[in-house]
Amino acid sequence: MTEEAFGHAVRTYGDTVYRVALHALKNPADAEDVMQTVMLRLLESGRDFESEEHLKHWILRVAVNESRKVLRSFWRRTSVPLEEWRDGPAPEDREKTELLRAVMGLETKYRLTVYLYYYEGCTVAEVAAALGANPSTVQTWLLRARKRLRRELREEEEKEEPGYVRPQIVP
Amino acid sequence: MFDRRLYHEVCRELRAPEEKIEEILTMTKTNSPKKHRRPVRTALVAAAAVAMMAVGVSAANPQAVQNMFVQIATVVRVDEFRQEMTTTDGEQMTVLSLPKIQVENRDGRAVLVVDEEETDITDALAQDGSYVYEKATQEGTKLTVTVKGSGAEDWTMEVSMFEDGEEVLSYSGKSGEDSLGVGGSIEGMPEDWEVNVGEGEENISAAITVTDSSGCVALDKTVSD
Repeated sequence: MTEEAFGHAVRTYGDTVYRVALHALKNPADAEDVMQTVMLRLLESGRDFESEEHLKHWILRVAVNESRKVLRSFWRRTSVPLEEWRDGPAPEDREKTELLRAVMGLETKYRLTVYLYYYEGCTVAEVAAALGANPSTVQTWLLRARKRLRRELREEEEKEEPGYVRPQIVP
Repeated sequence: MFDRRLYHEVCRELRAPEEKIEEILTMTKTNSPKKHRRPVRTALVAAAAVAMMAVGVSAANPQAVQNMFVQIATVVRVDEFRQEMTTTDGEQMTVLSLPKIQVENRDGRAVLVVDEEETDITDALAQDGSYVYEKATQEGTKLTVTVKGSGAEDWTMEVSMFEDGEEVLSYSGKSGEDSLGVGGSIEGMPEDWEVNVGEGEENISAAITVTDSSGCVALDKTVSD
């Protein structure tokens, strides 16, 4: 892989790897470490990728696996509260904070499924390949994740004090 | 309700620090790309792994283990399985990094997974009762995985790592147990010993302690990056 190609890959997919790892580990520092590891593996792999899609899916698969290594390690940092993420939603953005908290409250496999499917736009088959699962299993995970998110976010809405009105843009 | 548009906005705001991106980009510009300073977490994992191996060696004579303090000066990645660590005292240690290794049952087929590499070993197990996977690096490290059994639900596995022909690590597993990976039991370490890593000053140091079931400290290491 040329230096130029590597630079392109880092600029294009660095944030992607970071987000995958963050969803898996819920810790920004660990996510940065995984990002560095994945990019180093890319640099050292010497692989030629058939297409941009091929590269992307290789990176996603390796990012998931490297994140799992950290999860399996007998030592890892504890999760960091959302409020301490320097790049998380602004504290005053309540909706975003609640949504991210709800997603991060899911089990790891559901978090990763939600991220890959809804943000990266992966198909069920592509998510399955990245996570090393069967497509039918991924379908089930998506259903359960959506159900739990609905329940969690509905509970958050019900907790709001009576009389509270969310700021809305009035047309 | 799960607002997909809002989730997109949230994820777009989750970005890796620019300085980290720049650090990664400079990996290609060094004279020797394989040599680089590893992050604190990896150094600490490396140190903890070394602590476990050191404990394994000392298990026969725990009375002789004294408090040791280790400061890591550099970590050099030798190959995909091995890193060489040098302390500030000039002491050199080898840290082994194990890939994900497991045998998966996929619709009745036994699939050996070593990191991202997958091999259907069902027929080999049926015919020969065993399958051997080997991977060697140019730097003299060799990983050997021997799976014995009759199929996807009945197997045992032995994982060994050799450094220049000498076995430095081995462990085993079998069907029905959790998948093996980094942190699996290491030969020589007493079962009632526990490794704990507690953080010291933020991102600066960590204390690694090893205690036995009675709470006696067998090894105490402080590492820093």
